[in-house]
Amino acid sequence: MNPNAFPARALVFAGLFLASTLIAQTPNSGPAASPASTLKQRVGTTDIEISCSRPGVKNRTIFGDIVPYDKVWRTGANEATRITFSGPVQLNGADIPAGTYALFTIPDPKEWTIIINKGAKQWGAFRYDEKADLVRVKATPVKLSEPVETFTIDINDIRDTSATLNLIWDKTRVPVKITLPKTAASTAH
Amino acid sequence: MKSITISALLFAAGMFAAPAAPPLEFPAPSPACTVKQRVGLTDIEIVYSRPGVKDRQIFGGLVPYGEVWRTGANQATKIVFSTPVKFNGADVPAGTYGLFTIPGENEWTVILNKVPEQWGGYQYDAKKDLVRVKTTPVTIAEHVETLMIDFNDIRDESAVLDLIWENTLVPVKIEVELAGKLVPQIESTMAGPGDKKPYYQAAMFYYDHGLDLQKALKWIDAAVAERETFYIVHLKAKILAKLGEKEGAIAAAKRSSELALKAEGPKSGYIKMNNDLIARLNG
Repeated sequence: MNPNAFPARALVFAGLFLASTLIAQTPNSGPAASPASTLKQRVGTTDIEISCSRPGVKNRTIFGDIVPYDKVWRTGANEATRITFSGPVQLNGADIPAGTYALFTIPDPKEWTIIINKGAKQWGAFRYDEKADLVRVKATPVKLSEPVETFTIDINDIRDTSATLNLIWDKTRVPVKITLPKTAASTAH
Repeated sequence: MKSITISALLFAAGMFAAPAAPPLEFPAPSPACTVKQRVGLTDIEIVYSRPGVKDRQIFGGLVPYGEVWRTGANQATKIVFSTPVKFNGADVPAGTYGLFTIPGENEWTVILNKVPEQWGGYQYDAKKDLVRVKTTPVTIAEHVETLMIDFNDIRDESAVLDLIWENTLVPVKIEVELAGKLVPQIESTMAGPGDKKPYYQAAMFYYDHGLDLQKALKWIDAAVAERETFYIVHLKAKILAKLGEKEGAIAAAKRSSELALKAEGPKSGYIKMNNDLIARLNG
């Protein structure tokens, strides 16, 4: 056998795995991938892009159990969830300049904390550094009547100058209001 | 006559003199969205425009029943599969398709059309359909303002494409081939020479898919020998438990908790999962 053949094949193989089989990983698990997802959404004239890995419920209790309350959660699986804004926005009233950020949350039965952190390329929350926080805002979770199996981040209620960022998993939806500054909505660029 | 000439001249001069208005970028009433999702080894991409309910009645109103709908707004909705898939059971080769639907009160038709780039449903040609599948709409309690196309129930070899708007959810099952492709590759790689093999991932795949657990155990032992980490040892505990080796499983679960405590602190989800496993084994 060609001695060079194996490492290449092993690499391809490892790549396949990273991309595929580790869906069974829990949200807290190590460096294996849940299925990766990217969402690009235009709101007004601002582009928002979100990349995350999407764990499943898999008959477990999620919030308050697999994802503990009062502890920083990477809000997805594997690599920290990333969010990019092409222009300045407000998240639940807090100013965010254009840029790419890591999105973290601290789940809670009554009031979640949403964290926009400047360290955009982190592996999970293990290296989460509070000093790199840009803002922390509060959000009130909404109880869903039907469970959602796969963790979902969606942008909904899209209007000309606002939208809602929804974090949805199991029977919980956490809405965060995105508002475009008036200048961005009315000025050409 | 003279005045006409003058005003025409003034008009022409104005055309040359006036600077062009700066380009204005208006918000689209139905903003564009791209969703990319990996399912198994297949990449799926959807590009669509997202209209809002805006206090209108959507299905059976603005979007009539029984007529082909572009399933979005503006440009027809586009869907790309990187490999062949099954679309509610129908075979679909890798490629880019136009996604159309025919809404119905009790049954929807979901269409993949071979012409992906077209404006709305106006040029839609049924002769270019690749497949038409039927699906049953579900009424949901939450009002969804903006049309949403999402993948959910994502498993190793399947996912559900959900079309969600107003109070309606329309599910379409997508299946991809994974185990049949991967198992021969795993077998040959793991039996081959060399080190730094994906021991943990191979063991996980065999455990998840109910394949040869003795092999999974051999690989997880090799993974632990390489790097003793809480999540790797936790998988070892689950494999041993499935093999009926209760004592070994409990010992591994305890070890995994020790490691998780060090790595993640007392709130680590792994401590809880290990305790659950131990309780189940002792129960």
